[in-house]
Amino acid sequence: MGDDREREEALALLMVAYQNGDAMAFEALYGGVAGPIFGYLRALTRDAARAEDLLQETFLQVHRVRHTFEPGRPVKPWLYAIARNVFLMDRRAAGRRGRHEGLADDELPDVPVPPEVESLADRDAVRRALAQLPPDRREAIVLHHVAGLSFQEVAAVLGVTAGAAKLRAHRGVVELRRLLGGAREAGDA
Amino acid sequence: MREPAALPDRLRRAVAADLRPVRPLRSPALRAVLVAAWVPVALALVLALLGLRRDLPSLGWPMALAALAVEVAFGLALVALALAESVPARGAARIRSLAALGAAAAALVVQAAVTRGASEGVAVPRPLTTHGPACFAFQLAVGVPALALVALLIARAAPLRARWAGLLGGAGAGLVADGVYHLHCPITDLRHVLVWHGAASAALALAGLVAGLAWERRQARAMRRHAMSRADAPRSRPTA
Repeated sequence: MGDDREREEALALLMVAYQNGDAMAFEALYGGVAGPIFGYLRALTRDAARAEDLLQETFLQVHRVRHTFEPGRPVKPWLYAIARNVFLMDRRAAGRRGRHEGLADDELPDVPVPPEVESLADRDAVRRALAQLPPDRREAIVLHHVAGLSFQEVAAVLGVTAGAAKLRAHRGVVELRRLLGGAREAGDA
Repeated sequence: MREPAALPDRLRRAVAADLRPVRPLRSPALRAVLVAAWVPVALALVLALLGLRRDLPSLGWPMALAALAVEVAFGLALVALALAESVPARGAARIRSLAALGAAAAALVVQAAVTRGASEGVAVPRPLTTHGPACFAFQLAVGVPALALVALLIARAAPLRARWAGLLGGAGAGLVADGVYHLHCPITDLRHVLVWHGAASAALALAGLVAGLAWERRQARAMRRHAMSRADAPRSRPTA
């Protein structure tokens, strides 16, 4: 918990330095958050190559709207909200370009695995189960359990109440357990 | 701790090309004060060009000013919500924004009913048609500059759900305009007030919504252009 706060404070300092024109602060900020945001985008897109593209686009957006970060407020929800918007815009643009979502049945979905459910089955099984969840539940799980955002912050990113964010994540975890239980029983038989 | 990801050259170049210091946006409430500055200007214009409502002796100043204050306060609260919506991760939950819109609509109806209770107003033969289009047009004229100001403030930020920001901002501008125009229009018949004055407020909200949708479409087009331009760019995958 203390580590999280220290990390958040460090990010906030970097963000302020970046707003003041410090290029090194931008690099450090990128180094500190690009990995988790990439994981989040991978969970949304279920496609690593597309997530890479969107990560770059996210940071280009961050650069364009860096003045909208209010010093004193948490950095992570601000960044994740921008990343989410980039994904949504790209999805809309992809729809107009005629590119459609969807994975072949034998394709392993590229989704980060929450540590909370890692012990329930092997990583591939968890990843597969996670990819089967409805997108809103998967998103809440990834933001809370993988990215480490509080429910208040998840709510700010998703534009819902903290209660709704908690409910989505909770229902997602319950469904994940059910899917993994079913998979384990099938494996045992 | 994760390994720091390598910063792609394309991104590094784009950032280096424009690294001027930026001044962070002020809070949504403070920015809403800029829209509040339009209220005295609009009041002065309405009173100078159209005059005070003729039923003021029966309505009384306290009631007239209370209605103005309530509507302007609700309008500015909606504007503050719209400006919060225009900053990433600052917007209210959708259900709360809807509740705020509902409360603002209720304020408009209650204000009309209370005013009607306090004053019979100026009687007109056909309240649904007489003076209605003129009130609609004048109220729009009062609200459009407020809406333009809100739109400018929203565009200066980074609205992620621009349609919501536009809808809230437009409704806020509509309510402010209704409050201001209330000091001129002496017709208190509920049919006139709810249909024509309500329609002017709704039209401004709709205009905000349409502007927001246009903004979102523009963003999606920009995204398509970027997608095409980055197709050839080399990739460096960060560590997740």
